[in-house]
Amino acid sequence: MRNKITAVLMAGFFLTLVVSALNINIHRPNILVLHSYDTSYIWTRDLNAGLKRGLDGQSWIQTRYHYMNTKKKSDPGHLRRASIAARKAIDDGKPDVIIAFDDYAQQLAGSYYVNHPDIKIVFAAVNGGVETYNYIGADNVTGIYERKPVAAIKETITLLSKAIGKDIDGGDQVRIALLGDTTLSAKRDEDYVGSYQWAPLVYTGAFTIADFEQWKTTVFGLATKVDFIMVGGYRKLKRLPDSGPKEEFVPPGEVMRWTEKNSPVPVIGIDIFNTEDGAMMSVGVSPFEQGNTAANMARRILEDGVAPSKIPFATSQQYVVAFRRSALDRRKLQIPKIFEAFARATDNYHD
Amino acid sequence: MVDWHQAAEALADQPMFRSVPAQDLARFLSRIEILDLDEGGSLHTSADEADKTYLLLRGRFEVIGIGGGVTEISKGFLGEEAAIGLEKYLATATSIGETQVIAMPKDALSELAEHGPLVEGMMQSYSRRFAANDPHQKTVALAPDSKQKKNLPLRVTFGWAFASLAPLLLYLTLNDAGILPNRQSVYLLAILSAAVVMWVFRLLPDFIPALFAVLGIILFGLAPPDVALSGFSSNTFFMALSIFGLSAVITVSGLSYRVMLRLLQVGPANKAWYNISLFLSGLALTPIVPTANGRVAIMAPLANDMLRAIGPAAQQEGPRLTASVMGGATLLSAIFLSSKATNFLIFGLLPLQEQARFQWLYWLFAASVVGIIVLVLYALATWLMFRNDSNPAVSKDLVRDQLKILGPMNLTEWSAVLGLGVLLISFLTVAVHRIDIPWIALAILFSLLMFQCLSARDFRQRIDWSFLIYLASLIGLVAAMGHVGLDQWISGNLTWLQRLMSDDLPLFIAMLAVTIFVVRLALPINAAVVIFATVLIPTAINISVNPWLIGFIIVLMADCFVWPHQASYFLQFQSMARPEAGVNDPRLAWLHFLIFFMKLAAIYLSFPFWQSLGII
Repeated sequence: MRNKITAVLMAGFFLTLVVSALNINIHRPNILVLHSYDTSYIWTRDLNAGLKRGLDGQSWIQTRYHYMNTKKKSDPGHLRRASIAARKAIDDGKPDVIIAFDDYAQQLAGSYYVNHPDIKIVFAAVNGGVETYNYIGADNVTGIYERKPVAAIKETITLLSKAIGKDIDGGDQVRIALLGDTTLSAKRDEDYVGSYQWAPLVYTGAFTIADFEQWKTTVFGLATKVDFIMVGGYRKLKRLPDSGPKEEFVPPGEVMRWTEKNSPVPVIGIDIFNTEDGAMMSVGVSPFEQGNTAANMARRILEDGVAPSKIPFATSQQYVVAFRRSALDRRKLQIPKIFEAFARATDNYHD
Repeated sequence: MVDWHQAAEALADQPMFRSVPAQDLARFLSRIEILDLDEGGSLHTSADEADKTYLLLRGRFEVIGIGGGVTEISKGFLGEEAAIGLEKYLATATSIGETQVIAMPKDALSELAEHGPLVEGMMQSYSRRFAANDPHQKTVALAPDSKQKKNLPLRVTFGWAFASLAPLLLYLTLNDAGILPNRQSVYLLAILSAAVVMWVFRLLPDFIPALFAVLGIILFGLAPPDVALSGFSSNTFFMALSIFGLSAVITVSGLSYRVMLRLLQVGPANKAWYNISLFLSGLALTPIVPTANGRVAIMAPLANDMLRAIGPAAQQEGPRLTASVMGGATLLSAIFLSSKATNFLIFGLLPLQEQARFQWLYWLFAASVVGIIVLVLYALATWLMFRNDSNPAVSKDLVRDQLKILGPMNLTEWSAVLGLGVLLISFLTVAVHRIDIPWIALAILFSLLMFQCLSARDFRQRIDWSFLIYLASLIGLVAAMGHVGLDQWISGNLTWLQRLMSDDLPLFIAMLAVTIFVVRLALPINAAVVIFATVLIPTAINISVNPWLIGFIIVLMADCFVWPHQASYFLQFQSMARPEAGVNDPRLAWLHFLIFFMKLAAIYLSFPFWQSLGII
């Protein structure tokens, strides 16, 4: 009899454990962080840093990460595989909220779950519109746009103008141009940058470039036409004009190191990772803000039960700067110490 | 006509057989004989070789010891000398009137003796008889044979010389060469080289070089302990531990043997069904017993029972039964995540998101087409290669009585079935419960321990702790390679390999398969998998080729062999199988050679399926 009672008590104990664990896990909030790129990319790491800041102290929320790795490889075959894998991760994990960073995450995964009854989407780091993903007017979508920090870039160029001997107040013209590849993302940047009021700087236009040879020619050609070159997308440059579709694009580091070394005029990146690739300086949207804002939006959805459609889309407000010391020294340019401290604090200062 | 039922009851009545598990006693039943003797019939004489022990069922015997003592036996055992390990009988037993005995072969008794005090019981039975009746009976010394001191093979001597020299040479060559990314990489490569030499020359059991590597990493400060020992806290480690626990319960409970008997009972009494039964039993064990050697250890006695039961036909059918056992137990090792140590290793090397994707069920799904194709080709090959005109049949009465000895399913068997059921349901409902499979498996293990379905002793003895150390050490080793940047360096210096893997996967797979086949002529399976996986999986990750696919192909192809020495599980079967199994039949070597091509064909035929899954 005593054995039976003991067995029943043990069974009850185990059953309680199982039921409690199941109950807790089934109701535990669950976020899937879907990155278009991977962690070898500083942008992704900084997005995660901002995200963790937003989720600080919220270990109760189960957070999983999925990296689509579309920066290193973006041929149609890889995009198809990345899309299937990301959607499988979503279907298997049934997250309450997907935080999707950058365009491919929206295009290849997020857009498949628009108006899903159980899954909410928070997009971030999208530098164009979200109409193509059917996010506008969707019940389950909110997020934050990434807009190039043109005002900050203008301030920075104005500041550097004196260092190259230009006196804007004294009537000198400071001419700028933007270089980018043929991708949709670069095209959106061109449109956005082109629509900004750059005066008193003189924006001479954007150059859309398909291959590395054309890039080199354009850089040399701009020597006498502009005082600063801004660079945007350059990750999809073919090696030669007649390079086949199977040939790999020129590595971004090679493009930027060549540009920095050979450009007669200073090169300013409009994405923070341009300096990591080799550019002298870049002013870009803060990935910390993108990650942090996305995390806060996800928390409002999970903790306060706010419908995503009630949370208005946000736009980036903050920026970060990055420097490459060796490039600055080569051009004999001095930057204010406060800039250097800021870059160092955000891990964006390169020797 | 043999009365199996009477024999079964007589055996079960003997106290010294009570500690023998029911499944072993049932199996033992197929190996005994019942002998009837007339007045004056000689059971054995003192000059005979002691090859059987007898249990008296009916009648009396006169027993005369070698010292001249005489006694009369009307119940209990005779010829205990066989059971206690003597070479010759020390007495002569003669029938008084009509008698009936159960004759139990020496080798069958020695297998039973592993489970309890059988030998002690027999010794007591033997010594009691003569202590009472023959004061001149000499005490028999049962000292083990003195082992001959053997010289170590030359391989071991050379191996240790290489293990000492390889790291030294690597260090001297690479330290100032500036080839590797940093000094830590030089040290790590030196440590790795010593471990690889130990594996290649088989100087030590596999897990010891792995442990050495982790120890070296910590002692040399190449990576912090939490990196070097990360394998010991990985979910892969706990998944493997839990599967081992469940597997131990299944083995201890005798569930696998019951399933085999049921298959024989329900199927037709012909050779096709016997082969299918053995194959299916092995196949059923594949996902739940996580080592091929473990499965072979369970299957070999079943195969021996079958060979004995089918009598003379075993000479012709033996090689095919061997092929069925080996095929069932090992052919689909790569198809189930939980069926091999190396599969866990591959799983442990995958990035977290790929681990989340290739959980147990999806691993099986992704590998299923390969499995089905290999199964079909294997069935075709065994049918064509082992055709013969024998027509064996196993007595259904024997099977029925063996099942009777097993009795109804006991609590441990039910717990094994329940554990398996819960695990399967958890695989299917992972999206609902959101708990990672390793922790569900651990909960099952906890319940088995809590309810003592798995005793503390079985937990210590039946779980392959050396493998778990091996697995965890290798995961830590690869993590340390990542920590010092060696993995990136290796993949970065294999650009031609990257290009081939990325641009021409079919050619890469063919080259990989052939390379593995050649390397496996010298290296054991685990070492080959470790070397290929540590180089190729980081490379695949680096260029966005699905790392599971590369890992799966490595474990699938590394499991191929032609010669017995290439596969420890085949050697194990060789040592356990009866002569009629025909383990040295050349057709088996040809079959193993053909499996290489079957697997390769299955890989290529799976391409469309993998494309649909987004794996390629």
